[in-house]
Amino acid sequence: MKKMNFKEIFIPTISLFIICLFITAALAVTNAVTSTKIAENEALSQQQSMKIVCPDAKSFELVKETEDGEIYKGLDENSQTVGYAISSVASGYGGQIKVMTGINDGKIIGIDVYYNDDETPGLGKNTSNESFTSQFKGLVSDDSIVVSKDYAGEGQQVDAVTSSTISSKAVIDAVNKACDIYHQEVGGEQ
Amino acid sequence: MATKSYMQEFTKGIIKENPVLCLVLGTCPTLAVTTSASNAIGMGVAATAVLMCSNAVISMLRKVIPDKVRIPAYITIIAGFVTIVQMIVKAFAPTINDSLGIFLPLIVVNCIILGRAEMYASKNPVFPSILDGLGMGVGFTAALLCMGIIRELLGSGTVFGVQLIPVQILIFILPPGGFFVFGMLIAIANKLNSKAGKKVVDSPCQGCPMSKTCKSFACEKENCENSDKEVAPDVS
Amino acid sequence: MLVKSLVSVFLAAILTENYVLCKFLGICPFLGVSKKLNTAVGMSVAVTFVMVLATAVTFPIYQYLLVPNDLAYLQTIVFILIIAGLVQLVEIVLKKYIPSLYQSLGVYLPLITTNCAILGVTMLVLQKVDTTTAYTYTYGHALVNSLGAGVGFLVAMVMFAGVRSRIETADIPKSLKGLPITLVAASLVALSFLGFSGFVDKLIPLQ
Repeated sequence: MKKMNFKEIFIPTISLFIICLFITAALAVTNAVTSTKIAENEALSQQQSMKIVCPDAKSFELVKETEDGEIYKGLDENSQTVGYAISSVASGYGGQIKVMTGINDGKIIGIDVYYNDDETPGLGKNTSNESFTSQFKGLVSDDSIVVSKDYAGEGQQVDAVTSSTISSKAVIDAVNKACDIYHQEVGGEQ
Repeated sequence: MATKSYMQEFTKGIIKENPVLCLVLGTCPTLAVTTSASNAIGMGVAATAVLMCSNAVISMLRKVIPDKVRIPAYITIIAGFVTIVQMIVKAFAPTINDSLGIFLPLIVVNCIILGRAEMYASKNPVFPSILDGLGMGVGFTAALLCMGIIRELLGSGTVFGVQLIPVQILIFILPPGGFFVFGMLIAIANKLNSKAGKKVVDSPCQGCPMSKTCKSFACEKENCENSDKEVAPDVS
Repeated sequence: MLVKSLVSVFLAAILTENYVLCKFLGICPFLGVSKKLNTAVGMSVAVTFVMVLATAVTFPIYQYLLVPNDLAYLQTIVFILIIAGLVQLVEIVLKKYIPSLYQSLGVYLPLITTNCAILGVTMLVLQKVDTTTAYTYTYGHALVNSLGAGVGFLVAMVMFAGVRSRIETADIPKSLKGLPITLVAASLVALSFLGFSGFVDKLIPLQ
């Protein structure tokens, strides 16, 4: 067998290496330009979500990061606590579902499903619709919420989105987690 | 003369050699992201941007890149542009990034892009290559948009989020609906092509950039000398 | 609990999150090499093998090399080059040391580099790694998921090869012949997989 000569190996290797080097440099530059903007966007989507579930608050202050989520204290102009916004995560049909829950005085004042893009469009994605999320308003936070199909009793139940029981349950699961975090961190203080 | 041929470079990708409906390339994103018309546009524009940039750079470097390492070199260049596009989308259109999800980075293995690099940009000067990329990209976007509008209209009763019909046939936005609508569109394209007396596609392999690699082994192995159909394909 | 979650990840990857029929990854080989059962099986086994191997290599590289150095943005380019390199390496090793296996699987290897299912699996398992939740994927989960994805690919290919052998003899309208009828058949197979939705969660509840 003929031995490959130096040039035959060296030139392709070095040219591939140079291409890689250039591309990586281009990526590093783009990353440097866009990374702050990307971080801002991510923070913004959470911020907007906190505003939705806790509309009276003017600013938010991180209380604690727990294993299940983060709890923020909502403050008005006079630095009075007007509620808590808690972010929590549960696994839905296609991936993670991220929910922001607003709680004040042991009552849920609103929820917002701020990430459910891994769910099926037209089915699980409808969990972020007002018609589903508004059902949580006014439920109490010290008793767990269930899907009405599973539980015939009164009170703590919501109707699942049609044909999307798994996604709906994931949202409920996340809200229940948020309630647990609220009780651990805030408890009866308020 | 020159303007006319440039025009042809651009328009051939839109109708005559439409990458999705005539060459059957890039099937994965075609099926996956067409659950709504706006997703289809987002995907189409992102892929077009990558296609134009990679075609331009590959065409520029076509005399420098050694033949032996040309495929890895193309893949590196394409991956670089895909990442740049991904970062730009993340920074300036985060909602599109969320809805396209994994399919945005997967543009890198979209066979339209590697296919055009191998078949066109590596043999032609820069300007026609850019036009070819633009034409193919527009053709890809048009086919995606067509799928997206049909699936969104039938599946959610909306187009671009605007309610048009009151019924929702959910199955169309679920995976089976994707296969079905795509099948029907290709049937229509085949019908039109056969009326015009043109060749009809019957396998996803004909336009595949790797088909040469496949053909040699598939024929040895399967004794399929006469059948172009059973050429093992891949790349998507 | 760990075994339970691993089994659930494995089953989910085959049935409810089937890469071909539910996530639309790897459609080209699915449509192209599913005509005969033996090529379908050969391709799927090669895909499974490369999937597990690629995940085994890319997972630690991403977690322990790219993320700590703030280089996560290089993910796409690094992964595709690793996969390309791995495939070449496997091909050379097989050719030299296990020629019999190379005969049956090696021919599919060059096609796999640019198969989106492989890159898709290596990236999707990393999306499930989220240290802030209890649903995080460990290295073991990632490997089991990619094995499941490969087996799911095999199941889909074998089923579809069966369906296609029936189509061969059927009388089909002229303009539907070839690819269109294949896609309609794929649609029906995908429909049957919809029936699995929620199945794994019911079977193995994790809460």
